[in-house]
Amino acid sequence: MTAPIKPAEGYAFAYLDEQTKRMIRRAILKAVAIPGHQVPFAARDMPMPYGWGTGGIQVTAAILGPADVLKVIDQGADDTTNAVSIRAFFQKTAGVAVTTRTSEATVVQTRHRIPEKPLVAGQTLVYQVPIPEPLRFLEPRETETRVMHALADYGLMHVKLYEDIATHGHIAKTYAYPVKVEGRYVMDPSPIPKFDNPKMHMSPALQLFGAGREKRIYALPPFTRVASLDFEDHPFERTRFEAPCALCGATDAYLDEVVIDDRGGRMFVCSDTDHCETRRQEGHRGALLGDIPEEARS
Amino acid sequence: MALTSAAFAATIAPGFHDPVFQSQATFRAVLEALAEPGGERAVDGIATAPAPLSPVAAAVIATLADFETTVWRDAALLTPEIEAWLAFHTGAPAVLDPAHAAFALVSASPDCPDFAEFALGTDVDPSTSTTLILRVDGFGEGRGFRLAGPGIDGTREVTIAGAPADLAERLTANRALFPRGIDLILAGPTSVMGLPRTTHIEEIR
Repeated sequence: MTAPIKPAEGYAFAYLDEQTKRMIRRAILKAVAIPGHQVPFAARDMPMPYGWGTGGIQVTAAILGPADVLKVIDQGADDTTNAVSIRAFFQKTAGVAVTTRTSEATVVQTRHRIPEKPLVAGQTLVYQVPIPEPLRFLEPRETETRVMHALADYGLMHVKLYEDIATHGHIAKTYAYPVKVEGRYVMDPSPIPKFDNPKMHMSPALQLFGAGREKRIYALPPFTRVASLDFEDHPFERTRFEAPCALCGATDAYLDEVVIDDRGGRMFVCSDTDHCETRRQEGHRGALLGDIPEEARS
Repeated sequence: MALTSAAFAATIAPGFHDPVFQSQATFRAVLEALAEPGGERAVDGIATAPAPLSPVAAAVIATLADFETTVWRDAALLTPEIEAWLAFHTGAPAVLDPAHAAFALVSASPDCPDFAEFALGTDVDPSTSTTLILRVDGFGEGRGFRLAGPGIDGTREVTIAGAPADLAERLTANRALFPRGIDLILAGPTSVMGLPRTTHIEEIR
């Protein structure tokens, strides 16, 4: 964990002005009161392009306080460009403590993953959402999709899933797999792999979703029922991997495929870098984990 | 005779002494309260708020209201001091019709209108409903309620003193409107408790 630092001068705490924070905070409270419903909010221009997490960063800025410990992940990794930039942004503008350890964080902002280590009560997970509307590719008109949500008219979504089964023999959606919240709203979980969907169900942590370009905030309070859409004869199935992580040997983690040579060689490694590093420190070894050379050991 | 600005300013009590961090702390307390209904969350109230506006209710409204939100007050809170305090510290326009309120401040439970008189939102946009900030005498004593729903692992039992006598009936009727309905923030002497529209409530007799 990196301790709090003095924020750079000239910035409002956590970048956003107080009126913007109040507006976002009001949207978050209503989102929590109506789990799965997309609440419109007046998203601001942020000092980064759309698609880089402008929604998540505004939600994080609105909730963050000086006592928070922030972790930011991009596809599970703490060390990719998006994660490093957003972490540095809040270090600079809010001076908060940051960490890569899931267990140390009070707020985790994420792009497209849920950490492998189960979240606990008191933690908040903030998702960066590109397209909050699960019905968007079935019905392009926002006026129509809002009425469909109002009427809980989700037949079109079930037809889409059925057509997948008719064409491919199974539901072909592997990420942004739609869920139903508390038996009412169909919600886009953001482009997390469907492997992560079961982690949302009855999670003790608060989950907040921010879509900057589309100007929507939605939420899952802790202990909320979240069911992945499926059929009785084609139940939801979590992605399974044939091989364990090549570095830490994990068999229960989401793995990334990495090409390692030009002869078709490839390895599968944990997408969650903190999970993988923690396991290696605990002594778990995967098939491709090398030894540190004798002369490099200190 | 119109008040001079100096005389007028003298009648307005201070608000947050550190608006950025006090409003952040108050917001997180309210967020956790609504995310985990029935849980009590400590709030550092604004002791200087003009009575009968409770310090905790004052902190909550100062955190959430501004020129974009309308505020409705019950009869006991319709004093010039509170009018001036809210206008100065939040800039929120006051409304007399509860159906037009983004926030409602209720200081005395017997004066609380039927919840259906507030803005309930629409099926398309249920988030436009009123958030009710209701002053209560305290938690941990008074009448007992059993809560269930999102934010609660199983059921949770709470006791609330000084809530409307028919709170369970009111909230059950409100629950039946889902996804429409009001959301309730109970403001105790030193803490808040949230009862959003999703919570199932029954009184334990």
